Amino acid sequence: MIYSSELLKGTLKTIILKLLADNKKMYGYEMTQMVKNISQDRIQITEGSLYPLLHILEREGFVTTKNEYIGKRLRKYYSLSHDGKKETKEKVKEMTDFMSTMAQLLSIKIKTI
Amino acid sequence: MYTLTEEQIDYIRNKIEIEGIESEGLKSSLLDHICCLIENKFTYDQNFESVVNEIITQFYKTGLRGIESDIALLINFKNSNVMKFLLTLTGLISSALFLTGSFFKIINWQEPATICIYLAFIIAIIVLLPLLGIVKAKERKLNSEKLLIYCGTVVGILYLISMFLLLKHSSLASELWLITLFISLFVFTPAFYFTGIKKPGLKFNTSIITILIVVFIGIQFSLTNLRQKKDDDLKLPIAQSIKVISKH
Repeated sequence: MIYSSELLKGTLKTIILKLLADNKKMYGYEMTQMVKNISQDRIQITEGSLYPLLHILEREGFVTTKNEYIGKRLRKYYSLSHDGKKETKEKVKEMTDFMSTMAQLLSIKIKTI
Repeated sequence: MYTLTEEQIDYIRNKIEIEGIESEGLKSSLLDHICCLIENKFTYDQNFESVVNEIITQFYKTGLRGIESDIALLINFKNSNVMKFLLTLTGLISSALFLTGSFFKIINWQEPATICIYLAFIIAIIVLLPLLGIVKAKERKLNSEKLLIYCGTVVGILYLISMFLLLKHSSLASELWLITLFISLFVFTPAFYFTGIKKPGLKFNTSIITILIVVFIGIQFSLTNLRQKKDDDLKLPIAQSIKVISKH
């Protein structure tokens, strides 16, 4: 089952920041594939939402970029900045609180996949 | 894993450019992303061009240009948030300075009072009102509405400048004040009325606010220009009586 985009709205920033925190540097395609694999195909990040987010994260100073040539094409690697690491901690904490509140509200126990 | 030829990479690059992407950074990111997708999923029996077209359609419903538009929208949203914060901050500083200045004036602490009031006027004229105009105009879609907001901002700035000059007893104050009243009454008020009256839900509010604006302009006019004239009329007989008394 693929989760609806409505449900995923607002979680993308946290997902990307956490991915970058767990991996030193990543490029766009790699991120989409890793999310797909970890979530067992239940979360599919669209390119239309990934690139605007990465652009904003770079603009806000949460990620830094480094370009590398792969043959004839340029690959942009993203990694977390110092501020980005702090933001990730805050976002993950916020998400954990939110999930436990939702669990209480819906009277459910969260299963780990 | 499929390996793309240089011609195929150029084809994808051209395709991205035809789609209308302007940012070089986004162009290269999308090129790499599409190349990765093809390298990992493309099989030799498929038609390369149709696969590229299919991938591009999956990226964004309205074409790749939509991604760039989304980035611009997000940047504008962030900028407007910064502007709103600045607007609140300068509004608070300006009001605090006006209040403090007035309090100092009451307790006859003249110099600090003048500094506070002058600063308040300067902040309101240079930062607060122009910023308010920009933020409010950005929220409107129609050009006529944007123009109305800019007109209102200009009137507000002129009003504050004339008040500031009045406080400094400048000779330009009354001329500027008359210009402000003229623009408010004959340009801004009719424009405000005719823009608002066209909208069915705003008819009543527009009429009431228009009446209030006219009443406010009338009161301001009678408080400044008429009162000034009356004071001048009174001064003349007093001066004449002083002359008569001195002759005797």
